Amino acid sequence: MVILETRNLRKNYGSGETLVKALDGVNLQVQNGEFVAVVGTSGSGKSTLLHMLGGLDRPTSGEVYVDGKNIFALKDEELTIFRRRKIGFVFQQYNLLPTMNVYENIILPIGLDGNLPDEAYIREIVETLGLESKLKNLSVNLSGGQQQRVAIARALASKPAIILADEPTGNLDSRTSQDVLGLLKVSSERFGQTIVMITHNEEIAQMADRIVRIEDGKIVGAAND
Amino acid sequence: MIKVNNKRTIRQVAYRVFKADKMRNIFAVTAVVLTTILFSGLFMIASSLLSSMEESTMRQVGGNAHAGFKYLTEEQYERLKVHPDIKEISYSVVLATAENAELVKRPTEIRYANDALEAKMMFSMPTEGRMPEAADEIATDTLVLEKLGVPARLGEKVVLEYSVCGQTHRDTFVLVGFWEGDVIMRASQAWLSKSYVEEVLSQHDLSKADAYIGSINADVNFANSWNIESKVLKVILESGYETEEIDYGINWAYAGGSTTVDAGTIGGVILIVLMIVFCGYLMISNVFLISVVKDVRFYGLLKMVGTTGSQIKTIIRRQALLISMIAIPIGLLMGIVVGAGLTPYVLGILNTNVIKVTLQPWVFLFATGFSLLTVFISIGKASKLAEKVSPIEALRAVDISDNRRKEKRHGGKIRLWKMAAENVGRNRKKVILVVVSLSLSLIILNTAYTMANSFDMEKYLSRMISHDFVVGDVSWFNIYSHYINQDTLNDDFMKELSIQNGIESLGKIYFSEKGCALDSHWDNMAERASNELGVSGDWLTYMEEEIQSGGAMYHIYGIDDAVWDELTVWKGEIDLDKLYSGDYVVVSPYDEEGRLSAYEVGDTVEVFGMDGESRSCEVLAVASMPYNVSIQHTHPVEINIFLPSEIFLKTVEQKAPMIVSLDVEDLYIPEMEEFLSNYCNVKNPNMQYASRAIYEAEYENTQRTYKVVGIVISVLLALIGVANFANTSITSVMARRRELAMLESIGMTVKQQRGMLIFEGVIYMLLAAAFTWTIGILFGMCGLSLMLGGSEYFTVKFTVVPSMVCLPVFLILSVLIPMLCQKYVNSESVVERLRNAE
Repeated sequence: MVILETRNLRKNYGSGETLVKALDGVNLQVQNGEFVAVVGTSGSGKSTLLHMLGGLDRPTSGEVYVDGKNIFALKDEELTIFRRRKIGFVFQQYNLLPTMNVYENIILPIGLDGNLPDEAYIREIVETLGLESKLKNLSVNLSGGQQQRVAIARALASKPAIILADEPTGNLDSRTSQDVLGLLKVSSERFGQTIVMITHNEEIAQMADRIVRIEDGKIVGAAND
Repeated sequence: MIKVNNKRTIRQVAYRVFKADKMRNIFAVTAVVLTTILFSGLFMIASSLLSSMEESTMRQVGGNAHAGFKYLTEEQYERLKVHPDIKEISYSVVLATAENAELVKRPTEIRYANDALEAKMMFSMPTEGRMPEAADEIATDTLVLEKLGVPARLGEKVVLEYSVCGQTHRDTFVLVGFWEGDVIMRASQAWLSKSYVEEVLSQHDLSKADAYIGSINADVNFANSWNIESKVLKVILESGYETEEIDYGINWAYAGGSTTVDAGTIGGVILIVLMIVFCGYLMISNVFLISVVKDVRFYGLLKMVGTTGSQIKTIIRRQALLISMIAIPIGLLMGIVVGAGLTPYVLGILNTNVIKVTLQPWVFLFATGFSLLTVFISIGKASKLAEKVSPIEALRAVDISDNRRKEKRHGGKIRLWKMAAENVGRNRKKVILVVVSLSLSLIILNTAYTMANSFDMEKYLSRMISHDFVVGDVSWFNIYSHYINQDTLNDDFMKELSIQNGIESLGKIYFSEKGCALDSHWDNMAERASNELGVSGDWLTYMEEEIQSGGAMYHIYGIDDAVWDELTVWKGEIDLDKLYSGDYVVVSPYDEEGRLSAYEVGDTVEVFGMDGESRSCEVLAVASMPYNVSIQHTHPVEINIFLPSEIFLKTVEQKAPMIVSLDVEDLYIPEMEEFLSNYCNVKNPNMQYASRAIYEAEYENTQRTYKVVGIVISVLLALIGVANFANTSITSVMARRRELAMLESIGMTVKQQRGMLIFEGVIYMLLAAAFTWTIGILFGMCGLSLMLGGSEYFTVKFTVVPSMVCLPVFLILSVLIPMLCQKYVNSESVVERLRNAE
């Protein structure tokens, strides 16, 4: 079953001579439960693609379907709500809220949706990610690896269908990278989530079920395991 | 739509943001506190004004009862008093008005009161002793006792003279009670016993007396003061009377809006409220805008994890609410203190009789309401900005302020002031905001000072008094009574006066008022007054009617040689020789500026003299006499004729002068003052005097009042301006932390940075000064001219001195604040700051 699909996705920046085609007609399908790595050099358009997939930015043309729904047909507010229910993000810079502690960061998207957190589920995530002892800490006081694990926990907390990860290990040393990625993979398998991860690191990409290569805004080749 | 209960989370996020940004909070709290001070101060003054006016009215009316029934019979009173709507009722019966010679300046009503409640409702309850019971007992106030020369001591003998139905009575009473008299009340009360009053009344046939003699005057209180008239009518009708049968009066202290507050005052208050909202907006919106711009990444982040725009708006609103919760109570407290302190001055300007500082509950309510309103208006722009933040911002971490910088090339050496100017120019809106708010205080200060300074002592004094002393009959000084023909300044007085030391000049003015027929010169005067002077409304109608009826008031003045110099001549020339011939007169123009006159030089005017005889005289000149020596009232149609005293006494009327004006050598002024004071208070209570010294003191008082009020307002506004400036410079340094660190890392020294920041501050101040001294002052002066144009005591004197004096203070601040900011920021290492993207 296709959970995520793009049709002829284009995104241009600038105009005239300075026109940059960040995405130039991308067609991509991701199956439910799949772990896809998108690789490409810096400036190839992979981050732009991820932003489009998550509905953070609107494309110049083309559509993105999540769970069969054309997300850009939604209004801004609807899109935000759709995003907090269906998609979890993990970023290179972690993007945790500095003023909140670890636990509060993790349950924030649930609270924003007006729901009470599923305590058992959250505990399971926290244990899987090894954050039990850090829950009361302010996120800024954690190491990079720990912060990224909190970000993953936050992404998983609202039980999204898809997790979008943008260079999740970009700021981490290789040992920690392996750990974090392992956890991401294990937890997504455990909780039945689809992962689309962006990386320029071939080694990291090898952990995915499928690798999609992108160059100059176009998909140039897809490799399956 | 699914109902989502996310309040708790939103609240929590808001609270965290609030806690995180201490600097912003300090500024926001300061801004809201200042705004609240302005509102609560204003409302405090308004509250005091309203209650002072109410009390003043009550005291003038002479009671605080809601309404009164007049001229009742005993039977009527008994039937009315049982009506269930009446909360309190009591009555008094008037016997007469005291006619003791000592009491001419203090009307004193002789009555008996049904009970103590009546005395209380009439503000005439003995504070020492009690109400009279026996026939020879009396209770009255200290004013009456003072006039009568009776010491305020129980048991003293008081003699009262009065007449009923033309028959004079004189009785002696024992003082059994007294209280502090109130000069604002138009009359004093002398309470006698019921038995005495009834005894005297029974001796007379009251049908011949005035209706108020011997009848019952009832005072009534209802449950509340809403719509008193309809309550009164209801009582009358339901007691079985027709409304015409019972006379009643409503205490106009309770009449509310119509009598106590006029449209101009309300307009003024609305204008001030709007100005405060604007000032508050300038400050608060700036604080929030800067904080959102600074935290744009944070809001982007929130958006990314799924916070909707409206949720972000709620977060900002929530923060504003938290800030208001802290700031408004502080502001209320401070504002009420400031307002209470200013009240006497402001009420002084407004000339209310009573000055009473009153705090009414609505002050809190209104001040809080308007402060909150201002806060929520002010955060509008910031919350809209935060609402529109794109989640992508979170990933970019760049400033979203509108950078419309063009490519610039620095040729060779970098100049600090150039960098500073570019930095200031980065956000024009911010510059305008800061400059306007800084200027505002300077402009107001300047305007207030100019206003105080423009209050023209010479104009004021020359209007009020043009001599060291003016002496005359009491009625001449009292605007409520008329000088008619009293011979108060008799020969005895004139003789005694003439032997006083140091008199430089002595001018007598005689006056006679006669009604007589108008001549043809007046035929088209109403039309001319309307066209040439813009006379309109009641005055014009009245004028037309008067002219139609053909009657008019002739005011004939006889003036001493010394006084002729004081006349302002509009047309013709004053020739004393001709005037002494008796064939010539000087007439006044219709208006004070001599623009319109019924008579021209050479015209003939009839002067009415003794035995109704009249003489035709030629008009020699058209001239005005100063108001301060004229009769103190005017008619729509009046003819003022000036003659030399000698001619006046010979041909018009043989009488004592109306007033005498005196100029005295400085050395002898205290002596003269003592002589006059003694003469007017002891020897002849019908006489009164005014002195230049009294008016000078009054003038200084007025001027001081304007200065105090002006300074307080400008200090508050200056605080607002400085708060805005400090906020802008601190946040701009904070927001540029990384940029400054970057500059430092590439070799800009701390000293250079400081220089750049100080230049930025100085640029702001100079812009503010430039704005103030061009558009600002112009604007202030226009406003002032508009405001004071109608007031005759002002000559607008342009000055920029106060704003000049303030500038150094502002300049010092403009150096100090950025320096402190930089010091604060530099407490972190370069690396730390570089790493910290926030």
